Amino acid sequence: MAIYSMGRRRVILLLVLTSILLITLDQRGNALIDRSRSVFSLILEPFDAAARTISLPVENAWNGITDYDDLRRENESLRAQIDVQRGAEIEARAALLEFEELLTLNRLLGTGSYPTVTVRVQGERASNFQYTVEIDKGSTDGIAVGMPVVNGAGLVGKITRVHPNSAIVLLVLDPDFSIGAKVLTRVDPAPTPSLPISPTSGTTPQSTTTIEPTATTLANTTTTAFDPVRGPLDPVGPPPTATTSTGVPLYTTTTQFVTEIIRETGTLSGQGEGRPLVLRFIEDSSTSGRVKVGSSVQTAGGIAAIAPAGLPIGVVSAVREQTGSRALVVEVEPAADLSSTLSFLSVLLYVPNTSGG
Amino acid sequence: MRAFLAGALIRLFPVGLCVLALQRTVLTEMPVFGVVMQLVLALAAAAGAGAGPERGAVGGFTLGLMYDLATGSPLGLTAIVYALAGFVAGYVFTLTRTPQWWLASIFTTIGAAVGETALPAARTLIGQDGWFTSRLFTIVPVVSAFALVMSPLFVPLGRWCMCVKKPKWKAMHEV
Repeated sequence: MAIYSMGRRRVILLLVLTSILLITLDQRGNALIDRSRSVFSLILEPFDAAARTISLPVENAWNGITDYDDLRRENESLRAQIDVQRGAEIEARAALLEFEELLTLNRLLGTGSYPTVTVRVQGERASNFQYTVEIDKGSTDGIAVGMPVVNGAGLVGKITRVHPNSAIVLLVLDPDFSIGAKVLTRVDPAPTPSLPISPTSGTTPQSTTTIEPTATTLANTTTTAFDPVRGPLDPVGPPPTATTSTGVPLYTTTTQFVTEIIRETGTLSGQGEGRPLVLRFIEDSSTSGRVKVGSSVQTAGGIAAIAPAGLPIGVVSAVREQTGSRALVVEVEPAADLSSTLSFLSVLLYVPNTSGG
Repeated sequence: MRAFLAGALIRLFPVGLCVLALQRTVLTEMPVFGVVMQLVLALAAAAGAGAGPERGAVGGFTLGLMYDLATGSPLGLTAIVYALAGFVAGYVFTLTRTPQWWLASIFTTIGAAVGETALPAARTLIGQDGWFTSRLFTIVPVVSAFALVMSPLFVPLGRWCMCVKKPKWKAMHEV
């Protein structure tokens, strides 16, 4: 048998050309291909349902064998985590209410102002080179391409394909995922040298932002931020008064830690499983060097952005320099746990305002 | 060729739907070392080993097209990669003098390995880079091993799907 027959060449050429044509048409967006996908999804639905029903006992047995110890450990750790978070939740709720109040006062839309559709994940990624999940609701529930998908922790992905009763979500882990993001960094400047002031004044001028009084040492005299009514101050409190340990005002020894919020905007993309997200700043700026590990990362929002501003994405886990550029590369640990199986998600019915109004 | 295509598509389409449904449900829930085993790719490579390079390429292309339609990956991308897997498995198998089931299994494994390695390369070609990572050294062996395990079942199934009877399959190796 000839290795390269005329027929073989013809078949190979035909397949390659067909593939190139289909990829080009699909990448450019083609209504016929979209329709074909929807029809194929409908054909495949009963097969999927049957496979799920038949395979459930096998899956359960497999998970029982492979995941039992992990699940037990995870359960214990989650219980401990819940206890810690209960306190924080109460605090966060109060802050959220105040935040929503402020947004309403300023006639701004918060992320909580958009309607959501709760969806169930019905299919995990089938390929090793694509981080997607399939959800059980689609265009009939108002879901459209581009809408952001979140869970309780933060941004999970965005809708890339929509069928009548299902949709595909591209996860933030995927290298093809890209979104505008901002880093909010709290900068505590180095304490300025304390200046002696008139002993009679005894107070320091209040800064326009948060002031955190703290104890310090100056010329062998230990002094403490002190409130006449409350005594030694907590980190957040009314304007502090400096006194000596003997109670006689002498120096202002209260160091002011001014909290400055830096907003640095860039493009965030995924790097695959087990690797952090990467935030690349559009251009080098004076503030980008002040991004710190632990800073929170949120969606940047804006006209034509796929998500509204303020959706939590994660926290900065590392900051490093880019080869051949002064701009920094920031690694971000996603807030949503995407390493484990996702069950329920929310699709934010957010339609970008592309009209510019 | 037309008769072959009509016959093969009638058989391949329902089999492909079943395999695809298993791929999207069972196998996604049972990853090994975090790698999703590729049942459709295994069938594409087995079709090549069981039916020869041309038919393997056509069978792989059809299965890949179905995969693209179902998973939302760019249409034609997985198709050409699976066609390559089917072609490679079929081509190396035709080089052997006497067809043996275990040789078919080995060549199915090779086809699957080539297909899984070619997928990130094809993605890079269309501008979706970032897939060539060290994880590939885990993914390819796991996917290939799975194809090896499935091949005793999939080679006869692939041969049936591609309308190739066993005597014809043996005759393909006679120069």
